[in-house]
Amino acid sequence: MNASQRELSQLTLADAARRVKAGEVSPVELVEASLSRIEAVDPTLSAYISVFADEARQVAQAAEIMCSVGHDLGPLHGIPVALKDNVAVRGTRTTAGSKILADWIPAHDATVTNRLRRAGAILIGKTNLHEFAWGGTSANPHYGTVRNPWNPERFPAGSSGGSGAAVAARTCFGAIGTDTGGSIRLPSAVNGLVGIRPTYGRVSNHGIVPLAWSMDTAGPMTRTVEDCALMFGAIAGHDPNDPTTARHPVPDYLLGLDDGIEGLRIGIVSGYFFDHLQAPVRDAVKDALDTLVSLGARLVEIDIANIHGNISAQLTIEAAEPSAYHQRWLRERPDDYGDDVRTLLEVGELLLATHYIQAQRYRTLLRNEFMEAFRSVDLFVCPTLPFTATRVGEMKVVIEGGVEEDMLSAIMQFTGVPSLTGLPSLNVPCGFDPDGLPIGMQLIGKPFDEAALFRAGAAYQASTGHHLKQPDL
Amino acid sequence: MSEDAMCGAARVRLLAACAGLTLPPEREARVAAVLDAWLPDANALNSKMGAPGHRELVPATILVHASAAEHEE
Repeated sequence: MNASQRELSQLTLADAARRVKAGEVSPVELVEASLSRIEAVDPTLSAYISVFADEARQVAQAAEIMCSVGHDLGPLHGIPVALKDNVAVRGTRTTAGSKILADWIPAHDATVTNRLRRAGAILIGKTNLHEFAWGGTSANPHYGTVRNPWNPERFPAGSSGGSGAAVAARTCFGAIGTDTGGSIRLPSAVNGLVGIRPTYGRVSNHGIVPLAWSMDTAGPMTRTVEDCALMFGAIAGHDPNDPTTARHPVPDYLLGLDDGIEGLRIGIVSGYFFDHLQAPVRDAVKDALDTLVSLGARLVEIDIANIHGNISAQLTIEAAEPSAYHQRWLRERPDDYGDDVRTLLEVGELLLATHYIQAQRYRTLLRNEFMEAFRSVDLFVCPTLPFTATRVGEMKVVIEGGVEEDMLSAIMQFTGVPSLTGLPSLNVPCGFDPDGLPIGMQLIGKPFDEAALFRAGAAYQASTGHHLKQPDL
Repeated sequence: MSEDAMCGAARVRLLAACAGLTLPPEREARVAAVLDAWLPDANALNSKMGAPGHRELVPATILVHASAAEHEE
């Protein structure tokens, strides 16, 4: 990779898009920079399952010609982006990180894929993930263990770990992830990225291999809030092919992005958001809150009476629904699953219907409490997860007091809340631990108010520089 | 195998039979370990949701009908 390519790969998505429109940079150059970067770092990271080198070059040449005659496909014209490999791309394999779908060639694009193409994006490749998105480490037994670009001995979280590593390592300008229990937000946090789990129903799931139907979402993972807002605007909106999507107008998420947060009321859930954290995470998020207050926000302590219990409900629903989806394969091809996913699918088969229904009733209770709280606050802030990236292969984590905890339960301590309530939530990088590993804060907003999350995140990033650092890889 | 582990594996065997799922013995123990870790909290949540104060709560996955205005579109 030459110096010029290195410089190009370090542009933000928004900067690259501006320079393409201004004729200062060619899509061909951007694609070559991305492909060169993939070649250099992916043997270490295993972030990609498929790379579309030939197709991307062809599309880039066409995009360049269009630019030269003043034709502009849209806000992502000529920008290389990646898609998590559970998102269908017509005519190319979409594996969901599995052996079972290793040879699946979708006949149609997912809606998200289609909308990115129509916005002018160039698909550079499909990223690695935790098998069938059912896990939080992206240690994939079939396609390789994804590694964290900040320290390849550490995990990238998951399940969208490949997308997280790909963006953090500057192999693409943005990537699509999917999020059921935290799978966009968690890898965004440990890879130092911005990632949004949208309001349930804001973005189409059509053409995405499901994990848990009642909680699945898709969204972008990027280096900056502006990039995330730009990419999100291209994919959001009602889809007749997905009955869960809402007929709710899609605003211009860039409009008012820099309006600031004077008077913003930030909710902090007492007795939960800052309990049980690694010290660097607590310190970084509290510093971030101080910054937000210095920018004009005010903190409001909120009691969510029934927030405890959310992890159990999350696990029950997130286990039962995939087990229903996988029932046939689990009986016909059990040995084709990785051991951890197979175990979770077997567990999900054995939970009782009453466990599942009570968990779904609990969702109503928790959502009601948050909606009541939104009469007093505009959004909530908490850590995205209570620890920084653990070593690859570890299935236990120590948060406090030297006590080892199960990874799956621990990792969803905060991300389960938006998943259960259907609320939008945004990870914003807010610091680093003493080992230089990224820390993220989670902003939780009102339904369909992703704009407020973007505005708060943008204000924070305008005053801080965490998002400007990049891994030394 | 401990008595508790035997109970867990036996419970898994029974549940798996009810589900029509064949589990080799070595998998029964793995599944039992996870299930036994999850069930206490799941049953506690059941108990919470059965409280009189929560009787009116419906599951989040019920069918919701569009408004009359949406029907007219």
